[in-house]
This record gives sequence, structure tokens and C-alpha cells, in this order.
Amino acid sequence: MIHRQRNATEGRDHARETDDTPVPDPRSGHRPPAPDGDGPAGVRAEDRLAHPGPGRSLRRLLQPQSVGLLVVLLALLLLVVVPEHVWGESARTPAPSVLNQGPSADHWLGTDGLGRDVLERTFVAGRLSVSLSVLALGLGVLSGVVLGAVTAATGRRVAAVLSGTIGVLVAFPSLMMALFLAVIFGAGARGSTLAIGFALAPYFARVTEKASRTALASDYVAAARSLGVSGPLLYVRHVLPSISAPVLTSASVLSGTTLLAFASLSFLGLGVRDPAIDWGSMLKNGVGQLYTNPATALAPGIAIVLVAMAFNAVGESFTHEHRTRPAGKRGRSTRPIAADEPPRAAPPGPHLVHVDRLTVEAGDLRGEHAPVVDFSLCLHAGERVGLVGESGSGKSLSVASLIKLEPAGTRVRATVHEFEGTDLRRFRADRALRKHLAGRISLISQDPMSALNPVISIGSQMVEETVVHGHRSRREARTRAVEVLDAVGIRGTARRMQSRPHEFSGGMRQRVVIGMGLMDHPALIVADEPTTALDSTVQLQVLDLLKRWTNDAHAALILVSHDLGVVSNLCTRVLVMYGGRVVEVLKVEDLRRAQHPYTRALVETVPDLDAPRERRLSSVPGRPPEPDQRPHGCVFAPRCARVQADCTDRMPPLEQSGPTRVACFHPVRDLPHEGAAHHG
Amino acid sequence: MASAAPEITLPARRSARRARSLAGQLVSLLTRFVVSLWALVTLTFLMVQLVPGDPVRAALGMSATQEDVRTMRHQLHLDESLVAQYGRYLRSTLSGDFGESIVRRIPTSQIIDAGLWNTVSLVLAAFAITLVVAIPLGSIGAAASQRHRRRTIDATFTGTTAIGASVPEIVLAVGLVYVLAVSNPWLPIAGKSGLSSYVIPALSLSVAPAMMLARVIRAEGRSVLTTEYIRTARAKRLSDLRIHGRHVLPNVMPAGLTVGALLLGGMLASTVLIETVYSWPGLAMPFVQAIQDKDYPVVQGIAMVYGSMVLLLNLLVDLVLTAVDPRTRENPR
Repeated sequence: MIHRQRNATEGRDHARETDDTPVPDPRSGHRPPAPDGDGPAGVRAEDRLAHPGPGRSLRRLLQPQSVGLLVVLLALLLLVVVPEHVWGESARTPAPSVLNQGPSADHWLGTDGLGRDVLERTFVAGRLSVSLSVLALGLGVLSGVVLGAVTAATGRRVAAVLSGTIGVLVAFPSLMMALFLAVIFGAGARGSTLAIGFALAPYFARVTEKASRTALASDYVAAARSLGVSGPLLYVRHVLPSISAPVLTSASVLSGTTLLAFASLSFLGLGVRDPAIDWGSMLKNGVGQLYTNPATALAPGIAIVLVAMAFNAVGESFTHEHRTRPAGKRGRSTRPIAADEPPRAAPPGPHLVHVDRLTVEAGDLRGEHAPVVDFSLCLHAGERVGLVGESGSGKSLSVASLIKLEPAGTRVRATVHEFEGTDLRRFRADRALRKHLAGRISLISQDPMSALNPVISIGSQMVEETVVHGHRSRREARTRAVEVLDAVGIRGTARRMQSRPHEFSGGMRQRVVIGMGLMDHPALIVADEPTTALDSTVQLQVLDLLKRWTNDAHAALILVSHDLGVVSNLCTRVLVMYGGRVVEVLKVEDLRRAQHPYTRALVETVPDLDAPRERRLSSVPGRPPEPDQRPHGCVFAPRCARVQADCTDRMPPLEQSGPTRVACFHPVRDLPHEGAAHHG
Repeated sequence: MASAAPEITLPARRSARRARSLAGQLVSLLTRFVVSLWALVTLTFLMVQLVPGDPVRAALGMSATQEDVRTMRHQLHLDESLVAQYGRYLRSTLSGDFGESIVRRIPTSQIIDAGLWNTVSLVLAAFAITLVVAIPLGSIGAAASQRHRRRTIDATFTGTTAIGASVPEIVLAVGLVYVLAVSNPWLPIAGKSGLSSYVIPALSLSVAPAMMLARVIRAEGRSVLTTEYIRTARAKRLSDLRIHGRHVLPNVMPAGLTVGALLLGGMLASTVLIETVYSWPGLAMPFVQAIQDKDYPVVQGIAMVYGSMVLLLNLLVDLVLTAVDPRTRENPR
């Protein structure tokens, strides 16, 4: 029973990389088979054609940490072989002169009811406990693999019956199965080995069946078939290798369980019996002697725990996925932020948002390598600003930090960080900050499909913020919610309030999210790629809605997008980000006269600025650097066509140059598209 | 407020389709349950047929006379054809008749009646402890893993639960007997005598499952915490308590429930060990005794009770999951 629980636990740890990844059914009792990549849809063709064979397991065995594994295995082997030869005789010979003695120099753990040394017996008992467990496990693997392979290979009807039977059997805890089977095979060492072995068989059958079905349906088997490989050869050469990885993994995970199952059967008197001893039978006899010499029960108990842990360690070394950490370099020179720039005077006038030199650090990434460096922004009430750049440029992180929603594990610093005239850095307590910002800023996130909590009704989610913060009573809030939903174009709102998000389409969900943000008349709306996940017709509707609402409510908008078309449609001003920095700030109508080579390249990927289009900015060769791999000097230099020697000296500061503020030593000054610069 | 946005209505068919798929799912769940029950009954029947040699001779021992064996064979209907035996077995099982104990000469159902509630109540008590411990612990674990400065809490959590989850029930139970037998006068450690006698057995039964469930809830909670809807909730400036209680926990429940049921099944099996250690008057001791005595009618009866409890449990969880989690019901585009 235990292995199923433990497996389920581990399965969950790796499950759900994304919201849409199907959660592996923990009831199957196993990790999803073939972690080595029997290609699900979406895996690159060369990966799918490559053999997912046991090569990786073998390579793992040769890694340095496997030395520890070998030591553990060797210790187990010694435990099986040595004590029986050294103490086997005396451990079984009663010594009436020293019955039930406590620990002494002669007998470190004392003696049992027949005067036999407990320590010797504990070591000797390890022989049967370990070897019979391994034997039972081997039996389970063998019978399971045969059963699973037959199930996978036979015709549809037979397979359905077999598969159904395996399904029923897998539902029972393995200890229960072992007890049922002990009825057939009888008590004793042989009977219990058979019982435990066959009790494990259904799990291995399930794993084998799944893995071989995946393998049989895979591209490389199809390729092998097309080359004329068939029959047994196909199985031996192509299917077996992909079965072995998941089966080995399951076997190693189940090894600890097998040991415990054996101890359990012996403890119940159905396993190893006198005169043979294993830890389970010692434990059974020791319980009666707890008062005279507790070691008789505690020693085998501790031995079971230790060896079960050793088994599990062996198992885990098989299943552990070595996650390569990003090659972040510690202790890089950290430059004081913008030491070469004189502090800028704050632009005059009341600002809704005012941040200066906002820097976001994460882990080892700091200084020039911080994910966001020196982000500055002044935003007037009602102003609409776009933030563009390729993915990885730091736009989302900048904005999230700006509105105090930075992800866990990041550190945010800024010389000025004000919202509605209040310094947000002065809030020591989370609670006060939350109270201050509640209802003032709304967030519209990228993926409407997952932006709403799937188990809470639309209505409850709509009213939650305003009610929790005491801005409205529940009744007032519901009235307002109906009003807002109606206004964002969702009909039949009274009924819709009871719906759960899954009953809505993507476009409708985004409307709900927008409406939810408008409940409390926010001063700032942050839209992080609000249309990326939507169909293009729905995109237009949503953008239209955003534009109209920001106008009507006189709310400011920060629109994060990689799509210049969307931005120029909605915003008046654009911040262009690259490699964690703002490289250019300009008005939308000046986009064609952008001076930074990067902005220029971005603009040229959008042939018609009036038509928002779903399209990645791909015309600039290369990719933005990862934070820890940024070059010295200008971050854009490696991809820049105009790069010169001084570009790699230092990062150019953001300075006024003609109509725009640009961070470039050699800005583009020609005006090639004069006639086209007419937008809004 | 402007409201010129184009109207979007759902196709009317959708709810009808959902209703049908819900009914369809119920039917398939129940079908699976009935088929599994039938398989269970059949397997317990085959269990005795598969015993090598003559089960009656094995049960009565070598000293029994040929006459005794023949009488017993006739009593157990083992002298009929296999098909006739199977038919008789199915009929009597369906009518709740599990036959008579060979050794104790009393109806099996009487033995089951005596122990069933003790076993069930013990498992339920242990499961209640598991839930009460695991849900808050797992939630705190998930929350702590989010904060850099709470790394120690996180490491402590991971370490403690890993160790707690890997201590076998028998060892824990025996250890508790040793620790508590001498020093504590108020908690009974053997037999069943009122509510306080539940404490120690239920605790021994629930430690490992509670740690495992806490780990599952933490892992699941961590993945929920990375979702967009939690970011939405944070943008609403909700308190941590509300975010975890209202937004994370309900989304963790389907996984928690599934694993919880799995654990409950495992705990049911573990009662066999725990009841033996603590001399608990449940089904375990008659079951183990019957296996040793080769008292097949009793073995078959109790095996069917254990097995059908596991199947019933799985059915319940599937039903609850279908009702609770809209995502298992329907997955729109």
C-alpha cells in the first residue's frame, strides 16, 4: 500500500507543469511511464525518432553520486552474505543460562527469551529479509512484465479483458493483495514470497502495458516497421528498451515497500517462521518481551526502517531527475546602480505613477545582470502607455514590480516608487500596503483561460475584492457586478453570475476579467498581453473594450505587449525594453522615426501599424540574452547592425535625442518613412 | 456606462450536453463498480480453488479421517462441478450468506458483524486525524515555500514529512507500545474500551498517511500558487489567509481527495497490522487466524468485506470528484 501513496506523492511533484498538462492519475499508482520522453504530441521529431532506451539509466549509474549508491548496494549484499556465516549458528542456538538479559558487554543488545544474542540475530535476520524481498520484487517484475506485454500485444477483446482485470487488481492495496494471495500459497517463506511477488505483478503489468502501447504507437517503431522489422525482433530491439526504463523506475520505488510487506506478513505469522528468522518475525516475538528486553523488538524495528530507507535511496537515485540549474555565475562585479547618471529631477505635475530606477533582482542575478535594471516611468492620470519588447526583455516583471505584485524570490529597489503620490516603499506591513492599493489598480493578465479561479463562481470572484476590502456591501457589490458584466457585453448576467469559468469562452472570460478590474473604478489598469491568447476577431473586441473603458473611467493604462500594432492602436506613448532595460521612450506617432536600432527593427516587422496582428517580432536575427549572459556595454550590441567599438565599453544612458529618449551611442537619425508617420 | 459591445451568447446545446455527459459518467462509474464487485467475488471463489492440493484435507489436518473429509467436502459443496459451485457461491454471496466457519462452527457473517464496525471506526478516526493534520500542514508548507526568508521552515517541513512518511506502521506501533506502556496511565494501548482507546491505534495508523498527504497538498498547492488566477487574486490585494483558504485550497482538493482515498485504502490494509499489535477487536485477528487455520469460508467472507470497502471508497471518490471539480466533467476548448 505504501508504494502507491509514495508514488502518488512524487507524481504530483512533477505534475502540472502547465495548467493544461493532464495530471497523471495517481491511482494508477505510478509515475507516468517513460519519463525519458516517449514522445507525446509536441515533441520535436528528432526526439521522437530517437530511442528512449535505458541508456540514460546506465549513464546515471556511472555518475559520481552513484558511488554512494554502489556503497549502499554493497552493504546490502554484505548483510545478506556475511552474518549468516559468522553468527548463523549461535544466533539460532538457545542459551538457557542467559535468558532475557538486558544489554551487557557480552551481549550489546541483550538476549531474547531463549538466551540468543539480539544483535547477532538482527544481523542474521537481514539475510532473509533482504534476499526474499529482492526475490519477491523480481518475481513481481517478471510476471508483471509478461502480463503487461501480453495485454499490449494481443487483440482488442482479450486486451480489454486483461486490462480491465489489471485495473481492478491495481485498485487494491498491495498488502491486502498479499494477504489474499497468502491464502493460496500458504504461510511460510516460500508462500509469502510468492504472495508478495504476485501482489506486485498488477502494478508492473500496468506500467508495462502503458509503456509498450506508447512504444508501439511511436514514430520510431513505425519507422522500424517500414524498414521491414517485425515480430519478435521488433519487440526485442524497439519495444523492450522503452519498457525497461519505467519498469526499472517502478521496481526501485517499490523496493522499500516490498521489504515492509515482507516484514508485515512475517509479523502476522504468515511469512518466515521458526527456526528461520527475518525482521518481521523477530518483531512479532519481541513485542511480548518489550518489558524484559525492549531491544528484542526495537532492534529489528530500527533495522527495517534503516534498510527500507536504503532501498528508497536506491529507488530515488533511479527516479531522481537531475535538474540542471541555469549557469548563473556567483559574485559578479556589481556596479552601483546608475552611478554614472546624475539624478534626474522628477518631471513637474501630479503623477499617478512615478518610479525611478526600479531594479528587480532575483537570486544571483543582480547589478547589470538583474532581470530589470533602472526602469523609470512617469504616468499621468488617464494616460495610456505601451511597453514593448520581445519575450524575456523584462516587461512583465517591471510592471508587476511596479504595482507591487513582484513574484516570490525577487528583490525590488527603486529611488522613487510612488503611486497616487504615496511612497509605496514606506509600507512596512503587507496589510497596510494591500489596504492602500485595494481597488486602485486592476490587472488583466495574459491568459484569460486561467486568470479566473476554476472552482469559484463568476459572481463571487467579481465581488470579492470590493467586499473583502469593505468598499461595498455584498448586495451593492452584486448589483455593481451585474452592471459591469452587462457593460462589458455579457448578456443574461443574473444567470451568468452563478456560472463557473469553464462555462465561458476565452473571449468572454477576458471580458469578465476586465469587468472584474473595473468594479472599484481603478485609477490604473495593467494589461499584460491581454489579447495574445485570443482569436484575432475577439482580440479586436477586447482591445476596443479596453480603450473605451479606460476613456470612460479616466483610468490610466499600462499595456504590455510584444505587438507594436496593438500598442500603437491603444496607447499614446511607448517604452521599448530590451535585455531588462528601457532602451527608448517615444510617442506613438514618432515610432517611424525611432532612433534606437532595436525599435527601428521592431517597427519594420509591422508593415501596417493600423492593423494589429498576431505575430512575433522575428526579423531581428538572434534572441535577447538571458540576464546572466548579458554582454558588457550595450545589451543590444551583439545583435546590432550599427555596432561600433565604444558600444561594448558601457551601457549607453537613456538621453533625449530629437523627439525621443534613447539609450544608444549611435542612434538612427535618417527619416525614411516620413509620410507614414501618422497614427493614433 | 457604454455597453455597445457585441453580444455573445452560449449555444443552448451546451448545458444539455453537459447533463448527458454527467449522467453518462455516473452510469460508467456505477458499471465499473458493479463489474469490480463481481470480479472480487469471483476472485475470492477462485482463491480457494487455486489452493494446491485438497483444501479440506489441508484445513482438517492429517489426523482427520477420510469420512470427516468427505463430509466436509459435501458441506462445502466441493464435490459438485465447478460451474455449480460458482453458481451456488454467487447466489449465497448475493443473499449475504458467507457460509460457516470450519473451525469455529459459527456463521462467517457473525464473525464479520462482530469486527466490522470496530475496524471501520478505527480507520475513520485515523483518517480524520490525517485530514486535520495534513491540510493545514500542507497549506503552510506550500505558503512557506513561496517566501525566500522562510527557507528554514520549508526545509524543516520537507525533512520532517519525508521521515514521518517513511516510518512503517508496525515499527511505529511497537515503538509506541514501548514508549507509552510504562509511563502513561491514561491512554489504553491494548483492546477497545471506550473513546480513549482509539487514540493510540488511530495515531499509529495516521502518522505516515498524514505526512504523505501533507506533502501532496504542499506540492499541489505550490503548483496552484503559480497559476494566473492566484496572480489575479493577489492583484485584488487579498490577505495570505484568504488566498490560501479560498483560492488555493479548493483547487488542491481534487488531488488531495484522490490521494486521500488512496491513503484510506492503504490505511484499511494497515489495520490488519495495527489491530494485531494493539489486540483491537476488529476483522484483522479473525482474518489472520483464518488464513493460518485455512478456514476458507471465513477468509473468503472477510476478504470480500475488505475488498468491497476499497471498491466502495474508490466509487465514492469518483462520485465526489465528478460533482466537485467542473474540469473533470467537461473541458471546453
